[in-house]
Amino acid sequence: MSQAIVKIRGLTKKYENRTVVDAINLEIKKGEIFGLLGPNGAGKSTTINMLCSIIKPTAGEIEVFGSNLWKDKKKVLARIGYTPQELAIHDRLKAWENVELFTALYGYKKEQLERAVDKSLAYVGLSENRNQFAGKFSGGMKRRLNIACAIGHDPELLIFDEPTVGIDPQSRNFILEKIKESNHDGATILYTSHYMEEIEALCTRIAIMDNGKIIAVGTRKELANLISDHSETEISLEEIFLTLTGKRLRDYAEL
Amino acid sequence: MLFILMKNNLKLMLRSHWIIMLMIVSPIVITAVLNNVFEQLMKSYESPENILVGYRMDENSLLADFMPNIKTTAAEHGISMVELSGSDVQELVKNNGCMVFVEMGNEDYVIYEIDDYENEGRIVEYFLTGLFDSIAVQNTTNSPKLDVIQLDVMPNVEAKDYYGIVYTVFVIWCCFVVLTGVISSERSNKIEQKYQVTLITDWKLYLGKAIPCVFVTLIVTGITTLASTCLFDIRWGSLPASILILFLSIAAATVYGLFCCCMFRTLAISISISFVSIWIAGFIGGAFETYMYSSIRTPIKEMSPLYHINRALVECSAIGSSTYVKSSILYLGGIIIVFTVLGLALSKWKRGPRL
Repeated sequence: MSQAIVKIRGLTKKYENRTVVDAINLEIKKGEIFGLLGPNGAGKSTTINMLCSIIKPTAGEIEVFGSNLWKDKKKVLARIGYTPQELAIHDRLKAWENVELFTALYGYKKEQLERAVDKSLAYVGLSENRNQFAGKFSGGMKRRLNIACAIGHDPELLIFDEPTVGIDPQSRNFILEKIKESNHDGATILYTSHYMEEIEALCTRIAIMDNGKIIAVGTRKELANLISDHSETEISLEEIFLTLTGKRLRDYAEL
Repeated sequence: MLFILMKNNLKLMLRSHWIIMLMIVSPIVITAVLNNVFEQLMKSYESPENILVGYRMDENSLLADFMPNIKTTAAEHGISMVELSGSDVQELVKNNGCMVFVEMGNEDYVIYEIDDYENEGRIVEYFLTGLFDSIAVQNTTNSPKLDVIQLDVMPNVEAKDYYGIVYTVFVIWCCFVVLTGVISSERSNKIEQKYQVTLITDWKLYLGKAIPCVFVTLIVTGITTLASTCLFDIRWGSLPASILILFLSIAAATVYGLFCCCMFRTLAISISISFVSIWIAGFIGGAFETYMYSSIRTPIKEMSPLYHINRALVECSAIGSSTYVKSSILYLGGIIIVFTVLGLALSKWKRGPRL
């Protein structure tokens, strides 16, 4: 069995009286594509933000690659690639300049940096557009550039926070294929999305989150078994999700 | 890491073409307009060809030996000095048609200003101050103590020099707008958050913005200064002192702008607040109303860094030196240190605790 490279224990985030993430425990194993699924306001992005050191937890521990994220932040962050939900790119920089900037922030220099930029742009299919300004890109190209900016330093753990929001099917398919390719090349993936079919197609294990808690973790089959013991019946992930989280609307306001 | 960040931030700043153009063109246009508008105003303060100065000298005055030289130098500057005897100053002034009267004491002197010749009084005071300072330096003795009645030093400066200098300074203080190209992009695209997942430190992130901003402002100020100097023949006087003050002003304006941007989440509010504060500092400091004829009290004026800077630069232009150079440097150095510390602390506090 693969070793767990991410261990989350009792992770909690509170904003005044509201608990956004409620003492969750989670393990992500080396080499897997782990899906984090949940309705709006479930606490997925907060969990990812804590895992990426963007916000500080109220309680709990995060261990990544065997190191405590609090104590060995630099060591851990050097091995993480984070693709945020928002397009974290400068519109007035060219594609190669964006990738160069974010890769350089991991200590890459000169030839090593140039090679990393070329490799990242080629990886997301933007080599021919390297000299174009990011602001002129289509939504799909921007999403791909967003990914290129996260992979330049060759991270072992890639975190994707809804990377396919608002793009055409071709670009989505391209991105999903690239994520699979990265995983095949040895990267561990943590993936969140609202699109059930993406999670279903990509992820080896899935955690379903609701109201700040992990309510179920397992493979798709294991999750299906939680709601039905008729193993011969094909149950979609959407059915599993709606059964476990309920069908009521989830409106929430950002904290 | 820092170099690449600075390089790309520099590109973002330089690609905000309209801001750069505005910063280059605005001081030149303002100087041209104000030069024309105020030229007549300044002319009304100009002195007549010859200023008649009556003076009375104490028998034991240390200045007695210098009087022949003082008279010759004064004459070269259109000031005729006539020794008068008598006890009643008002009578002496009235009877001899003096515009200014100077009482030369043993180790000091007193300048009497006459209502109808206020401007001449200031010119004579300015002239004598410079002259006695130079005598003191040449003789390595203390300068006679200046006892001023109701007066402040007024350099004889032309409108083009004054407005050319103060508007270069004022635009420097607005230079942080070049940062908006970087900060708005970082904020609208959540790049600030992305930076937190990298290995860059807060200090390097700060320098990554501050250094390119200083660099861009240096270029812009250089172009503006050169253009306005060529177009309007602006005299900058003591170049080393002026360049040092301008450079420190750029650095101080940058850190102040960064502090304002850290203080408010909305960039429009940051820009508005900093523009208002700079406008107030400029209003007090002589950017809109020449500080020589300002009705604002000196202690209030001295609170504005722009007063010290304007005065130092204008005096350097007019007489080649200024006692305000030192206070400008100290003031600007203080601003750089205080607002750098505050800006860094505030950005950390605003972002919230980081792991």
